[in-house]
Parts: sequence; structure tokens; C-alpha cells
Amino acid sequence: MNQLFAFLIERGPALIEKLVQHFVLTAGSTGIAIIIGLTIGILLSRRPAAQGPVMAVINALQTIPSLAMLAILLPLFGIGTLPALIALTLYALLPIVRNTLTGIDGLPADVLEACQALGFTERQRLIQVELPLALPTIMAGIRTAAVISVGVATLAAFIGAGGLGDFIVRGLAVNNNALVLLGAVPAALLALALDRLLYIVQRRLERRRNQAGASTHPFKRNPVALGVAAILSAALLIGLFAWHMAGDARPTIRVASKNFTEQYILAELMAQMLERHTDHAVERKLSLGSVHVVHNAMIQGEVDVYPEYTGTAWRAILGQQQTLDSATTFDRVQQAYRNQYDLDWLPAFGYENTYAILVTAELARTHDLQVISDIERIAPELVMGFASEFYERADGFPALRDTYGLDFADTAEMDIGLLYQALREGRIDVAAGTSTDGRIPTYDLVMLTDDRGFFPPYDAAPVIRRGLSQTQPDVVAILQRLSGQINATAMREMNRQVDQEQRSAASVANEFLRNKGLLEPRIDR
Amino acid sequence: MITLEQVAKSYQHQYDALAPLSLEIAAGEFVVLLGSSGSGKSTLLKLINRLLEPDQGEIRLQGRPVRDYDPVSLRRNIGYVFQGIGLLPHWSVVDNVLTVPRLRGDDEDESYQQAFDWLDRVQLDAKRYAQRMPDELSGGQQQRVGVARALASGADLLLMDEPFGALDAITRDELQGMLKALQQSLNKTIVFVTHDLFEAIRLADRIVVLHQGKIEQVGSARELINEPATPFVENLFSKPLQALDDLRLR
Repeated sequence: MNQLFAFLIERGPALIEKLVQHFVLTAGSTGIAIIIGLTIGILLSRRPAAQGPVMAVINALQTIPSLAMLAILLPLFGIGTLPALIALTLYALLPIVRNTLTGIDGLPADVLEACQALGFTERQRLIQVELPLALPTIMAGIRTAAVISVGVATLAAFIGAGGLGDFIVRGLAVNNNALVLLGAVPAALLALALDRLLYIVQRRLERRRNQAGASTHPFKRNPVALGVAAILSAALLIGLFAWHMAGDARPTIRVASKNFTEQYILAELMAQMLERHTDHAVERKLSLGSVHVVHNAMIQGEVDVYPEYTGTAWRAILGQQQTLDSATTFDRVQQAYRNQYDLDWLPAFGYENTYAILVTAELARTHDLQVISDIERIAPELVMGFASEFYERADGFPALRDTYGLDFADTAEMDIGLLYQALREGRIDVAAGTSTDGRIPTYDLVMLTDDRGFFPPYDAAPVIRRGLSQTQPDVVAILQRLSGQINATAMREMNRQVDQEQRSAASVANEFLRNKGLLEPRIDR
Repeated sequence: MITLEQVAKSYQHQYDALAPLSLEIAAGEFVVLLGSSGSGKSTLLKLINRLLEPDQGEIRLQGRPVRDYDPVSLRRNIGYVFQGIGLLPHWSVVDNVLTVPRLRGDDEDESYQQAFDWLDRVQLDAKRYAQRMPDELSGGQQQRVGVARALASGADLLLMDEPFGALDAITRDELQGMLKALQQSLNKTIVFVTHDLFEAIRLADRIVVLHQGKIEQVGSARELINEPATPFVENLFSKPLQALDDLRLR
């Protein structure tokens, strides 16, 4: 219980921030979908011929898997809130359009006939009769849309739109169930609360509808007032959203990371240094999906700085095959990034995090495994596991398999956070992990030596947009203070504290900086 | 008040079509269009307030062709009562009665007072029923509201499309009596569609007998019974009368 309180107190401010982001994403997209969806639904009820084709398109949108939808929007709208809002709005459309159409089309014929014979105009019939009578069906659609939005919004974390999904993605990445729940439980509660809230709104509207002219209440017989109220609420929402986006006026530095523990810690180290020693506001865009997502976001100018590894850049971004020594790789990568992408590599942090081909100590003992070549002869009896990204990369599994002639019985793709657990529990026999992971010693795992020099050097260093490094020398100077400060042991220990002691990356990073005296002001400041 | 001149309407399926026909209806007259289904009687009614447009011929209201009226304002100034009643289910009784005055934007307070009077006129206790919802009322009560709604438009002309067709015999009798009394005291012009011979005899100043889209005869009940112009009209009246006579002899 005390642990739970401590956890909640530590994460409280972040929880509120993420909850607000999540609410803005959900309410914003549902709000936009209500306006668009009602309009489409009403127009379709007037144009029966268009119903088939339009509903087919909207239905098809719904069948696109959420992650695929985000991936499709990524090149068009970049990362962040905009593509997330667009994706969520598209998902929310179907239930609203369908229910609006069903609600209006399902009204009794004699009522509509009466409207015509009594002299309702088309517009009066719509506002005074059709919409009020279809209201319960339409509201059911809106409630469905809102609940779907809360769920899909958790995926927005993959493209840097924030929200409770950040906790879930990070929790999965660092193997921290409490963190996953910190995202999942409030998301579920938010869905229930929104559904309930909309139900109350529905009841109010129904009651109001049933007293059409009984009093002079401003909304009762006045669709204009209702419209104005709706527009005001929308404006309030947009204002809230804009305020949320704008943050404060100081130049903001956006620190990004990929979605695994070490990246969070490195991003925190950089972010906290910048917060401590510069006047810039710092925004964290953590948990971006993969090297390609972050790289594109950097090129598009959507984020400013993130930690990267020379080998990853060398193979996955620059597509180079040969393996060179550490210093040469760094020079070549730095040169190529400057020329091709207008990005700068700052001096390295001081350690290397290479891909590590891992087996349990027991398996290593039994078969006398020391180098990667040693598993060639027993590979047909083994299952190898790795993160999905490792399969796709130029320095990934297919090339490794060919270089070492490894013919595994089977392979398994899984979340990187689950990989070590799976290896320890014997569900896989070989894993492609990373050399600085804190679980290697804890789980009694053995790293096999890369005897054929397959993996390039993977020195970790900050990558920064030249647009920023050229104009803000103070940012460069501050980040350079981290240069050479972290060795592999220190990194592995920090990873271990996050992965196994379930501490937050922020507090582990803060402790490291304090111990190193890096938070002290420099003499000249 | 209403003049139909060589008016014809055809449908692809022939059902309910009208051959070219002419008819004159005077102000304050209670005219019943009598015929079986498919005779064209409802079609004729709907041509008057432009729910349907004729294929040929002309319909004039107060001397002016109806096609020169804006259909919406034309309908707002002609009362209409339906067989399906067609009360708006989400509005209370008084709100339903106020439908047309509100569509027109009439003075709310004045219309509201009048709505209560109209409810009393159709013999529905306004104080008791004004705030009820339609589904809390019996069928007969609902159609009383339907009649009050048509009257509340202030129209001099009421079109009634088999308004009592779905009611039980006793309720129908009450509403027929109420309607006839109202028509006489208010001097309204009513065009009333029915397939019920006795209803026609009871209500009509003049009966228009329609058969397969043609007018068979126009006249008072007395004229139709005593001087039938066609075998169809003769049959129409003689058969039920014969049946009554047969009963009496026994």
C-alpha cells in the first residue's frame, strides 16, 4: 500500500498531464467527428443514392488497423497531435454517421408525412422533428465514438502525441506493469466517465426536447442558441487545445527518444541538463516508435535532439555494410549526417551499446558457447527471439543469419521489454538484446562475442538539428558536458534500476546527474 | 372557394389515378369524397394543398391557381387531418396544437391561449390534457388533438383524409357529431375523404362519388339515393338499403 502511494505521488504530476492530453485528444477528435459525422449523416439521409458508396468508404476507414493508420498519416502530417487527431476523428466517424443515418431513416412515415402537410420547411423538419426524434440513436453513436477514441488514443503515444498511452508504451518497454496500469486504468476510467457524461447529456436533451415550448428556456425552441452554445464549446475546446500546444513563450527544445529504457534515461539526462542550465523550455517527446520515426521527425524539424548510436545510423540510416572502428565510424556518420540531413552529432556519451547475442549461462556451459559462431552447429534445435525492429533493419536478423550461417528451428518476434523474460523462462533460447541492459547480469545471461565483426560500433551520442546547434551554442555547450561521462557499467546500472527496481527514468537520471555534480552551475555562470 | 378544372393525374400503376374531372366547392360547404380504395379520392385531396401536382388542368383557391402559392405557406393556411393522426410524439398535446402558429411565427402568448380554447372546442379538457404526451392519450383523444391542430392554423379550409377510419364505432360516432357541430358553428369549408357510406350521409352537404378515377355523381345524399345517375351509384346505395330492409321485414 505504501509502495502504491509512493508510486502515485512520484507519478502524480505526470499522470495529470497525460490525462489532460488524453482528454484533449479524445474530446477534440470526438467533437470534430460529431460536426463532420452529423453533417455527412444528414446529407446522406437526403441523398439515398449516395449512401452505399459513402458508407463503404467510411466502413473501409474503420477496418484499417490503428497502427497502420498512424503509419499512413506519418509521412503526410509528421508526428505529434495533428496526425493523432486526424486518425482518431476518422475512427470516430463511422458510428456517428451510421447512427445519424439510421436514426433519421427509421422515423415513422406518418410523422414525416404530417410534417409535410402541415407546412414544415425542410430545415424546420430536420431541426424540430427529425434530429430530436433520432437523438437517442445519434447519442448512442456518439458514445460509441467517444469510447473508441479513448482506446485508440493510447496508440497516439507511438507518434509522439502523448496521452496515457505514453505510460503503456513505456511500461511495456521497461517491463514495468505498474506503469502499464498507470496508463490503462485511468484510460478505462476515462472511457466510463465519458460514456456516463454523454448519457447524462442525452437525458437532458431528451427532457428538453419533450418540453418543446413549455417555457422560455433559451435552448428549447431556439436552434440558433443551441448552435451558438455548440460553437462556444468548440471554441473553448480549441482554445484549451491551443494553450496546451503552445505551452509557454520561451523557445522550446523538444527532446525525443525511441521507446526503450536506455533511450528514456539518455533523453532525461539531456532534458534535465537543459532545464537546469538554460532558459529554454524543454518538451519531452519520448517513446517514438523506431529509429526511422525519430529520424524523420528530426528531419522534419518536429523534434530537436535525441540520443542515437553510431552503428544504428551507419547501417539502418546510411545503409553502409562494412564494419569500421569506433572513431572512424563516428567521423563518417557525423560527416554524412551533416551533409545529407543537416543534423549534427555531438561528442559521444562515452559507452557503447551494441547488439548482444544472448544465451542463458546454462546453455553456454552445456554447449561451451563463447562466440556467435559456436551456435551454428546447434542452431537447428534453437529458437531465436528479437524485437520486430531488429528484423527490419539492415544490421538486423537476416544479415546476421547469413553472415554466421545460422539455421534456427524457429524465430519469435516480441516486444523488446519481454525478450529477456522469455529467454530466462526458456521460451526462446537465443535473444538479440543490447549490451547495456541491466538484466544481463541479473538474469545470469551470457553475451556471445561477435567473432566475425558483424556488428559495427554502437557509440551513443546526442544528435541535434543543425538549425538549433548553429543558433543556440548554449544548448550545444550544455549537452557537451555529458560527453564521456557515462561508461557501460553506469549505463547498465541505470537501466537495471528502471527495469528491475521500477524507478522512473527521470529520477534515475536525476540521481546520476547529482552524483556526478553535473547539476552544479559552472563557475562562469 | 375551390375550383378544379379538367384536373388529371396518372400513375404508372394506374391505382389512384384521376381522369380529367372538374368540381366546384363553395365556401362553408361540407363536401365528402366517397369511394373505395383506388378510386382517386385521396389523390384529389392532396392536389388541393400541393402534396401532389396534377398532370394537367388547374386548381384554383379563392380564384387564384394553387401553383402560384408557395407550397409551404399554402399548407400552413389549410388545415389537414390524417388517418394516421400524425401527432409529433416528442411534443406535448398543447405543443402539437401550436405546431402551425409556431411554424408561422405567430405571437406565442396569443396562440397559446387560443390553443387551450381549441382543445376545449374539440371537447378535450385542456387543463387536464394540455401537458400530456400523445402516447398517454386514447386514439379518439389523439384525433381530437389532430382536429384542434388543424383548426389552430386559423384556416377556413380543412382537408381530412379518412380521419376517423382507425377508430372504433362508438368513438367515431362521437367525433363525427363533434365535427359536424364545429363545422356549422365555425362555418368552415371541409373536404372529407371516406369510404364509409354512412359517414358520408351523416356529414356531407354534398357527396362526390368517385370510381376508378372518375366522378360518378355529385349531389346531396337525398339526390344520390333517389335519383342515381349511374348504375354504380344506384348499386352503392341500394345494396346496403336493401340489406336494412331485409332485416326489417323479418
